[in-house]
Amino acid sequence: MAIQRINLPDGTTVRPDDWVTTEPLYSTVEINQGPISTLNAFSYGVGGEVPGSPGPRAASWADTNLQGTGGKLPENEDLRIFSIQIQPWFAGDGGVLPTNERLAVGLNDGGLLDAPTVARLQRDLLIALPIAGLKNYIRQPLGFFPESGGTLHPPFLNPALYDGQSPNPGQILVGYNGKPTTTNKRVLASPITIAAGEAFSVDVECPTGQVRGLRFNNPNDRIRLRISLDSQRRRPVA
Amino acid sequence: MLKDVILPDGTRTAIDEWLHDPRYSTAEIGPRDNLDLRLFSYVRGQQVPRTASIPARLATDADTNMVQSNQMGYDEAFVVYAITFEAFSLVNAIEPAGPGAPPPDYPYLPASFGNDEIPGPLMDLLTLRAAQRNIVVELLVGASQRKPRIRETLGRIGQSVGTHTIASVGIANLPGRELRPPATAGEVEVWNQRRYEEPIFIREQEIARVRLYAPDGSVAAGMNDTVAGLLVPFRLRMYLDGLRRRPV
Repeated sequence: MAIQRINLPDGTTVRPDDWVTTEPLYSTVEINQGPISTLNAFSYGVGGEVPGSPGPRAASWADTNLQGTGGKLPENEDLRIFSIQIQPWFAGDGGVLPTNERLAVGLNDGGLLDAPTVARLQRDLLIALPIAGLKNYIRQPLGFFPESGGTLHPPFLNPALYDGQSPNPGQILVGYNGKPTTTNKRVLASPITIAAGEAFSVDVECPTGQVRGLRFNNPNDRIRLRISLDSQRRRPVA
Repeated sequence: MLKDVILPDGTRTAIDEWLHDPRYSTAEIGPRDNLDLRLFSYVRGQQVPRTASIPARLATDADTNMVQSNQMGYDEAFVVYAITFEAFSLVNAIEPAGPGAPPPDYPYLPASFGNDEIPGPLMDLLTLRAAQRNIVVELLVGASQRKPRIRETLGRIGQSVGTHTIASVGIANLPGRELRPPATAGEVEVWNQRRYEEPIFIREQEIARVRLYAPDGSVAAGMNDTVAGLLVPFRLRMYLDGLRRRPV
């Protein structure tokens, strides 16, 4: 049985906790073609609405592990962030995502994105982390936060099998937000601390108003950004 | 929150903190234009530095996060320990005809600007090689200073921000229209940036800017650019990686 609470002689109650790195906080937003406003990751908890999603749809544990209503850290947690990672995925009805007549990624499975689309996201999107409504503790273009994950694979030997409705069979150019390996994570020189109960979010901003050149084949298609905060996280022991 | 401390002699000291928040700034370059630009010389709403063939446009937050032109703000300082960049070709990709065509990547450029052999906005291999050979980057700190604190050729500065690409084997097999491969300055990994043993300190309100120039004239100088459009215009977003001091 774990000790959950210690009552001191003066009446103070102390709750033991531990710092872990095994459950980083993560949250998801979805990017649409056309004009977009700032999307706030970590503004919702499990079951809440995923910002930018069609519907919008309710978040599952694949979207976020933030509990509660979102928008702030639970009262019994602290966070010390030393890295931010952003993984982009294609999410939709499986339609073709042509970006120009030379490159059409007709891949219907696996959420792959074509490289020009990834470059557009890196060019046009900013990522900011405001805490307690005071100021942004970091605000940089999306590419500054590599995905530190992804899928490494050889070139497509038979692209005709994958390119679906591509007008140009034989051409696939897949892209990732930085080299897809876990060691490729940008460690902050100065960790960012979020105190218990403190309001915070990770904002996806688009100063140009929209990600230019983005085109989906189906109205419900989106680009899903999963944002992970690599961190030490204080949680109650039980 | 404790923001200021007033000492017994009346001196007021502000409490501040150091954050990992690099400064970035953007320029746009035509490969055959004479190149001598200043980065970190403008803020949002001012003109983005460009060479002669590039149309003018106003900067957004995606172009720069400087809060004052050419210098640090009165309440901030910066320690530079690394430099890196990312590049995008300025090509309006040719879209399939039909409804729902997206807006062009660069609405301030003519629709046919660039080269349709380039998988824009990815950076073109040949143009990047030319830029790495012909561009020199200097960091100048302090008013009227001529001695740069950093002087590097672009070829020595790795690219730790960008798109990692994997292509199909048949990527360039359309007859008569060869698709040119994209490129990055090395593997896009976080340590692929030029780090310095001696960090460079830029104090509050100190003048600081980066000079981007081609000593031989242009990016295309000395390159076999006889074929029109072989080298394409591009956007360069340069990062000074380091710690920034801000009030709490």
